[in-house]
Amino acid sequence: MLQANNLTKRYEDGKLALDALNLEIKDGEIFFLLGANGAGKTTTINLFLNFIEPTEGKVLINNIDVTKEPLEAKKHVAYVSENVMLYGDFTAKQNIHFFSELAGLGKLNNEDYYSILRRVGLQDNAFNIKVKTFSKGMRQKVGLAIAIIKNSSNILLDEPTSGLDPKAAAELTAELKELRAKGKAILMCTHDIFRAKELANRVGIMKDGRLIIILNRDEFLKEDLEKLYLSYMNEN
Amino acid sequence: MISTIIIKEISTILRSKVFIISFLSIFILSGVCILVQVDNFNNKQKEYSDYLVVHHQLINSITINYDNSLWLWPDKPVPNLLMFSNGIGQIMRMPSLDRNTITQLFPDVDFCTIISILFSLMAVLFSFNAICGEKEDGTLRLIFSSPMKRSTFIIAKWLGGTICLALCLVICLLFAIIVILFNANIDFQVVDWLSILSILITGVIYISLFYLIGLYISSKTFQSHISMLISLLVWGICILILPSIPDFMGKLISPSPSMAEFIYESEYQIQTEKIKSIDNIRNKYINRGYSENIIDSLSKDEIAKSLNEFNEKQNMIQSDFGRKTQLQTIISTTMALISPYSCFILTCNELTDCGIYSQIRFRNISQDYHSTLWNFIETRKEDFRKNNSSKLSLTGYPVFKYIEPSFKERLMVGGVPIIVLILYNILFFVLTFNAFLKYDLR
Amino acid sequence: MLLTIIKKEILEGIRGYKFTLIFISCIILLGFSCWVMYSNYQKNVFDYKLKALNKDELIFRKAPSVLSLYVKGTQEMMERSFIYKKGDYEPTELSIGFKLDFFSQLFPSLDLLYIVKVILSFLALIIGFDLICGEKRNGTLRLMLSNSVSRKDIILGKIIGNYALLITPFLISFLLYFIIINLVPGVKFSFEEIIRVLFVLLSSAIYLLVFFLMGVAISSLSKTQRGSIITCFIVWIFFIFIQPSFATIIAKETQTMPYIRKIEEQKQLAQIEIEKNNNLSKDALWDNIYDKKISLTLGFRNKLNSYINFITKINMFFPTGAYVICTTNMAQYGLYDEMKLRTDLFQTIRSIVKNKANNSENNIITNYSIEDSLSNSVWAILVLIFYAIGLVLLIYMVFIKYDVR
Repeated sequence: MLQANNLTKRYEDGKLALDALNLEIKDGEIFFLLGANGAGKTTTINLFLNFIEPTEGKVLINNIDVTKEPLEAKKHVAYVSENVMLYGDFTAKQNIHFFSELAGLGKLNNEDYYSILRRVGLQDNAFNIKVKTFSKGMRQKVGLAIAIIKNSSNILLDEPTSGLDPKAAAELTAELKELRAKGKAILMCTHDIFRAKELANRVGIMKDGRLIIILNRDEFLKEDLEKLYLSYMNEN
Repeated sequence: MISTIIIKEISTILRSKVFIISFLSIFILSGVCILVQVDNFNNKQKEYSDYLVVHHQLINSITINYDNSLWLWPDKPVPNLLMFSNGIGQIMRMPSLDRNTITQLFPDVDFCTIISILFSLMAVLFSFNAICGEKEDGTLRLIFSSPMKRSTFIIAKWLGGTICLALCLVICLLFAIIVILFNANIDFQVVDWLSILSILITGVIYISLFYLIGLYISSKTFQSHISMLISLLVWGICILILPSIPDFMGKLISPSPSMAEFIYESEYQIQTEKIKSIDNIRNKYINRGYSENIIDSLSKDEIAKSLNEFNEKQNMIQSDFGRKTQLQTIISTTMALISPYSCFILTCNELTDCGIYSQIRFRNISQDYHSTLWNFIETRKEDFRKNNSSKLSLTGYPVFKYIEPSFKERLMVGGVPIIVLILYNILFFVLTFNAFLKYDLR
Repeated sequence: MLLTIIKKEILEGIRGYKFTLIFISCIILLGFSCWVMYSNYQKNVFDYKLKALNKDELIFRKAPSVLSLYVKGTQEMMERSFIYKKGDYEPTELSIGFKLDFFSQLFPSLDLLYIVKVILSFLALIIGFDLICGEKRNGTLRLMLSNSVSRKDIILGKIIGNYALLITPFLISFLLYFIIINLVPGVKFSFEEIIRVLFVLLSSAIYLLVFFLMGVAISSLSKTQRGSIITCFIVWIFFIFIQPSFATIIAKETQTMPYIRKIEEQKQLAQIEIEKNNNLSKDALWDNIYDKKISLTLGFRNKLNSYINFITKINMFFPTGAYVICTTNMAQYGLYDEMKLRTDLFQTIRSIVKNKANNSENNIITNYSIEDSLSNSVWAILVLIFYAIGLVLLIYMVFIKYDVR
């Protein structure tokens, strides 16, 4: 479960990046955070990962305060970043091996890695090739595999679909559905309204650091989400 | 946890093509260097033994007519570790015009210099990217999305990089030792092995320092190309510019006369003045109308007095000069501790018995020997005069034996720069640690 | 079109940090170097003024030249005081050949030669190393080539523009300190010396061009920035530190270089032998010993000179060696000048000995004329130019086929 209580972040230069965000993502739910660039989506993720300290408010992961016990909290969260280069001189398997060790997983054999990599749709012949030769989609798959293998109850995704081809994006969608079925709480920041319509349980729309509205699935399915989004954006 | 990062760090470095290429280049360059140096060493040793033969021949053929204007200063034997660090090289005292001027324009580069230049460069080139590069690649965010302490990460980075480069250093050094053992006519003593070991340890400390400097710059910047430029700039200042400054500063703070001026004043000028004053005293008596025979006995006291004065003056100039040059050397060597490069070079020089203090030590030893030898020759001359023998016998004359400084002595003078290097390490470690704890992961 | 590119390179560069870096380093380094070398020069002028006190003694010392403010070269060997006493066989060094300021021998002194040879060549490589692969990484290369520009214009424009950025700060700061040093009392450049300084500058400019082009060539041959920079430094270290010892090792294999100390020992031995076995008159004995000693000296000197000649010739083929030879010869502190000094001194003493005259004239040592210096260094300049042309051709050929994907 991911929780943000009255979460506010003001940077040193005085810019208000996030204004009193209240959010709760339950297990088995996919929450989409939509918004323009600079709306505060990535700031939210940064706060969940304790990359920055909140000015006010609390961030909780499985009821653990991230600011107070960052290391403990991070055990329960996996992260997929927008455009991860990974370690170019490592193979896909070595990358996932390294990060699984970081996640504190015990000894895993190659077959475990391979099964995860297969699961995210990476071709078998790419497992032992250096990552620097990979395309963006392939790297993103490895990134997702790294998140999956951690088997944590919460997943944060930062623009995971940007720059992916339709097939890869569809595979990602399928994977997320499967993860939801397993009872994970998933927070996904994106511009991708199409994906939101398909996947989201709830959608939040952000603008200038404020979460303007949260829509339930039946709410945004009734009306056209795209129109809704644009109308909120144009509103002052 | 820390071991995971260290292992990852080491294997990323070892795996990268750039590392393999640069390691091979370092290996080849240092290999070429050591081959050249071994050749050089063999030549020098042969020259030295040739010279010794003639030198003994010369001493044996000295006749009664010669005084100590004969040039019998001993040369320093070729130090066993000359190929590691030339330092000031072999000290030569000779009066002649001709010198090998090539080294003035094209200096010989020894193993330690090459190692220190190459490895510091590599350390900087592998660390400038270590943090801001991972940030650019996005892996830094990924790593810290897992339960990982920042302090663990930075320590692991530092250890991983240093271990990799230290490994290369060990390989290069081992290769050098193998080349030396197979090619050079050399007999390593315990002291030499200990010195090589200390060079290795100092080298690792030195590499770790440059790695930390790179890490520090890397954790202060966010773009790798800016980090690289700053790192290279710092490297250039440390290696190319700073070492040349202390000599000038020493001369500026404690100016001492040049050697030519000193000799001119203390020996040549005083000698001339001495002769003049003796003449004056004698002339005074001659003018008074004394006859030649009694002048000597009359002016004896006065001459002795004036000679004494001159001797005192000479001693004063000499001790003054000695003090000034000593102060100058101390100031220069202290200022040299600013640059880690000159720290390393100074230590290596002292460890291989080619440094400043070894040369001063040798100068004292050779002066002692010179006076012992001439004392011996003088006593034999006395014997010769007493006994009226047919030939001056110099059998059993004191042969010059150079006793190398013990390891403890070497460490005493070469240890200060090592301590300074360690202090620098601590300083940069603290700086890097603090900078990274505040590093912005956004 | 070429002009547009040159203009763009210069405008881009002036705003960049690299230009500022070079400008600041040139100003600081050349200024400091002037200060260091001036104090050194002053000391040498003082030592030069030490004169013989007795009638039957002579002190020889080369007059320090203002060019030593820029190039040290063999100055330490050339500007020694030698004393010759009547009745001696050969002159001896006043400071009997050993030095006490050991520290100065450990690290190179900061003269113009060192600054250009080591530090500025390093900066030249830094400027050159990401000229092409950096532009490829930014994607601007594709953008540029999408216009109707020939690749030849692009590469020439880049080379000329960036070289201008490298050389202008150097020339400006050099000129600045040249004017300042001319205002200092006691320093005066004659017309001939100014021409020599100009030649030193010219060869420095060509040398920096060669290193800059080396950087560009490596940049166009390598794919990544880090690969490019590491290759650059390996090349730099090779040319600056390793290559000069090649010449020495080849020379040692082919030439014989006797040990200098052994010759001294042999001379003394010869003297003792002759004195022991001869019952000649005093004068004849002296002549005998003199001839023997001189023949030993000359034999040694011939070998030494041919050894030095040989190494000079080998080093001539490499950019660093060629640059060092060229500048030191032009500044009259080269290897040939040192050889000439020894020969001159020897001839002078010989004429004094032969005439049994007391020549009290102090300065018989003559310098090479500017024509001779030029002829000594012309080949080195040609080699540098040859390298520059070769590298331009190489870069051109590589860039024509450069993969811009």
